[in-house]
Amino acid sequence: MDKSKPLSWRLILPSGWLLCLVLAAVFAPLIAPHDPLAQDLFLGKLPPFWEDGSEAGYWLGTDTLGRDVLSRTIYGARIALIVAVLASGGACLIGSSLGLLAGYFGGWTDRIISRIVDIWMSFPPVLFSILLVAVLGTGLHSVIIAIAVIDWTRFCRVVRAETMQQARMEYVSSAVIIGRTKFGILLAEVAPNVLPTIGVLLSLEMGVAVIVEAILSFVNLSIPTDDPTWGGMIAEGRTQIHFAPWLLIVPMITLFLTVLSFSQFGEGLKERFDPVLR
Amino acid sequence: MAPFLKIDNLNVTLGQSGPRLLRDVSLSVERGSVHGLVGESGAGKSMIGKTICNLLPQQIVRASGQVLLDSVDLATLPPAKARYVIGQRIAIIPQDPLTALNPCRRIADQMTDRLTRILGWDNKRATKRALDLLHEVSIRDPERVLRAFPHELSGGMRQRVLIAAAFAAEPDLIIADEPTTALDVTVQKQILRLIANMQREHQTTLLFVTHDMGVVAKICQSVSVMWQGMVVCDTDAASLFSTDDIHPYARALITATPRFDKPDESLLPVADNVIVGLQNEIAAADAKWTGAEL
Repeated sequence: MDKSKPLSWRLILPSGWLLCLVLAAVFAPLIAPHDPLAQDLFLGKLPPFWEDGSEAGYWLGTDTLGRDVLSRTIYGARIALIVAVLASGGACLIGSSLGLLAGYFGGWTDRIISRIVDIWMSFPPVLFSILLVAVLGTGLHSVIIAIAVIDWTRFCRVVRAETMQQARMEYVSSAVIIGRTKFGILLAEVAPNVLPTIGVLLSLEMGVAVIVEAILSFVNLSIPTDDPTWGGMIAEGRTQIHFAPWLLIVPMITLFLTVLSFSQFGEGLKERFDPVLR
Repeated sequence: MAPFLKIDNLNVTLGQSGPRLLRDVSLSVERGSVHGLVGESGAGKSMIGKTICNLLPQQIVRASGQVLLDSVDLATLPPAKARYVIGQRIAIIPQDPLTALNPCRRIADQMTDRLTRILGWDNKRATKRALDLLHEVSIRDPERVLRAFPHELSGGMRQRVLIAAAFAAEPDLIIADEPTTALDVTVQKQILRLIANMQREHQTTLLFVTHDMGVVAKICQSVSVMWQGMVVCDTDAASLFSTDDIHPYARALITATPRFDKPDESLLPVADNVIVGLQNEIAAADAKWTGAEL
C-alpha cells in the first residue's frame, strides 16, 4: 500500500465523529451528566442551552418526564453501535460467504443463491423486519437478527459480481495449473481481492443498520421503551414538536451525522484502496 | 522419435451439441522446438492452449480427439494425476501480465508456488531459484522485486517475472499466449528476444500463440495457420516464407503484415476469394462432422 498518500477529509471527519461515538458509548456512565432514566417532573421540558430558560447542567434540555436529553443520547449510542457492529457483521458474514460461493462456482450454485436473493429483495425491508421482530419478540437480539437476516442480500449481490470478475483473471488459471483445489483458490487467491469491496460495504451497512434500528425503535419494536434509543427518542419527540422541538432535533442530528459518517467512511475507504488494487 | 506434443483431430464445442470452436485440429511439435500458432482474433489459437492445460470454461466441451503430451493423453488420466502432470510439465506465459499476477500476493510467493507445491521444494531453495531466474531475465534489484506486490512493477517487469516463473520449474512445454500483446511496442521486442533466448538455453518446447507473422519468422521452426477453429496450413516456418506453394490465406496474412520499407504495399485486406475458399473448406469439414464422440 502507498503509505505516503495523505488521508482525505472523507476519512478523517467521519472517523472523528465515529470515534467520539465509540468513546461515548464505552464510557457512557462516566461521561453522561445524569442518569438517563432518572425522571424529575419539576424539570420537565427544560430548553437546551441556546434558548432562554435553560438550566445549567442540562445542556441539551430535558424531555417531558424531566430526563436529560444529552445523557439519553449518549446512552443511545451504545445500542446504536452494538446494533451497527453485530447486525452488519452478521449480514456481512452470511452475504459475503454466499456471494463468494455463487460468484466462484457459478452454475447451479449461482442460480440457486441468486434466485433466493431475488426473492429476498422483493420483500419490503421495513415490513419484513417488523414481521421478523413480531415473530422473534422484541429485544436487542431480535433486532440484530432481523437486520442481519434481511440485509445479507446487499453483500451477496455485490460480492458475487466482484468474485465473478476476479475468478476470470488469469492468476486464477495459474493457480489451477499448479494444482490448487477450487476451495483453496477461492480462499487464498480470490477472497483477499474481494476484501476491499466487503470492507466498503460493511461500513455502508453499519449506517443502514443504525437507521433500521431507529425505525424499529420508532415503531416501538426494538428494545423496552425505557431504555434510551435514538429512534425511541425521535418517536417521543414527535409528539412534542411544537412545544419542545429539541427533543426531536437532537437525536435526529446525531442519527444523521452517524449514518452520514458511516457512508462517507465507506466511500473514503473505497477511494483510498481502489486505485491501488486495480 | 514421436513428437513431444501431438494433437490429433481435436474438436471442441460450445455446449454438448453446440457449434464447433475447434474443427479437427491436428498438429505436432518436436521436442525443444518452437511452434507458432497464427490466426486472426477468434481463430481458436488460445483455445488450443486452454485445452492442453484442461483450462476450458465450464460451457466449452472437448468433444473428440486426442492431446498427447509425450505420448500420454492427459484426458485419460485421473483428474488429480492430470493436475500433477500439467503442473509439473506445462507452464503458461499469459497474454495480459496485469491480470496474471494476484494483486494481493507478493511476487516471491507467486513465483515459488509451483516449486513448493508441485515439486515439494522447501521455501529457501525455491526463493533462491526465483532469485536466479530474475537475474536471468535481467531484472535489476531482484531482491526488491521478490518482496514487491504486482502493482509496484511496470507491465514489462511483470511480464519478465511471469516468464521467469514459467521457466522456474523447468517445464517441458511452455505455452506463450500472445505474451507481448498487452505491452507497448518498444518492450515487445525485448520480451520476444528474452523468450527466444530462454527457450534456447533451457531447451524447452514452446507453443507460441501470436497473430504477428514477423514474430513467426524470427523465432518459430514450424507454424500452424488457423482460421475459425480450423488449421488451414501446417508447415515449417522456412517454407512458409520462401515458397509460393502455400495456402492462399497464409500468403494473404504474410502480405498483410506491415513493412516499414514498403509502407504503401502493406495493410492489405484478405481478398474476398480467399475468404470464400476458406468458407468452402469449413463447410466441407462441417458436412463430415457427426457430433461429439466422447
